[in-house]
Amino acid sequence: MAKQISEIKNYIVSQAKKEKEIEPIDFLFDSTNQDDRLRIGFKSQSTPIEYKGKFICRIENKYSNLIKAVKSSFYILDLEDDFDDEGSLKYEYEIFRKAITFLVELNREVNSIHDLAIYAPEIYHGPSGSIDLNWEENGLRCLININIEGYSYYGKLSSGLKVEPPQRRPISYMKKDKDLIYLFYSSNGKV
Amino acid sequence: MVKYKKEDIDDDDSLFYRVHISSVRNGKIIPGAFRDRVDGMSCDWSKYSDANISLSRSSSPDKNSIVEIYVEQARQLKDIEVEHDPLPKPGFDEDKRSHSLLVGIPKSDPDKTKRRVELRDMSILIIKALTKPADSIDIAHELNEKLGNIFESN
Repeated sequence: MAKQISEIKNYIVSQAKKEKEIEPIDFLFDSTNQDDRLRIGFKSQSTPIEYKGKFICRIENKYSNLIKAVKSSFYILDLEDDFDDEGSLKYEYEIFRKAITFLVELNREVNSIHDLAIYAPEIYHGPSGSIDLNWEENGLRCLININIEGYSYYGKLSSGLKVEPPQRRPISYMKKDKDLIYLFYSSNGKV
Repeated sequence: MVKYKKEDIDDDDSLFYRVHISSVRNGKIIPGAFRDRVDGMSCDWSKYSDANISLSRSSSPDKNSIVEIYVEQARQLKDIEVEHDPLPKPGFDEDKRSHSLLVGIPKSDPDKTKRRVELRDMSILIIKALTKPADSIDIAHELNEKLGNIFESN
């Protein structure tokens, strides 16, 4: 049985690689959501997010606002050294990719609770090569900052809920970050 | 050389803070605009300046916007203080009596992110920059995408 599962996994991964779905596959195998797994390979249901030929991730077509927000953020990678006339350096593709993948996975985590989705954020260049994800929607105010060391945030709801981690966290911690996921879940997001 | 005496800044006054065009997106100031330079966030005190004067002192007025921050609101933030820092002073030859510093922005998280949110939300955009290079990049991307779709469909 284990061998069969392994063979099936290998087959899906090989097919997905052809479709440039390498990264989401890693995440989807961890998902407990059966529907998520079944979405693998259905290219027509998702849009590949690419910057100048470099694949970043896929986003399901139903999250059109998220796709639009991500595409709007490509300006960050076009900024050149000294773009602010104060000597700031240009932004690294790898940090940008991490931020977008983080956003897509956060959306999936929230979606896995009750078919909710996060509002599309504004995606900005942050201080010292970091990326900011900024929300100001229907009572939700949140800023997530992502840099090479991980992520940090400050979030609040009009209902009074406030969340902020005691320290910067590694990206991989996000799925365990109940405060952050609860913030978006409670904001009653919509696609 | 010290030319002007350092004064106390009243809570009822405000500060004018210069924001580079690269920190304005879709007409809004981005949170990344609020950052500590060397000694703090460099601003102009309303007692000796206004938004137009503050903008005109910029090396590129057409590439900068001006936001206003009320001193009383800034001081309500944890560890934030507003100090008069008139120029010239040793190491700075510029003559600028209005020069002031917003100090106490944390160097690290968690408070750094929170403070950027708070400063961003209390700032009022007074003068918008004339040029919009970042927005132009957006338009170029959109155009490229449309052209790409046309070529693909053919």
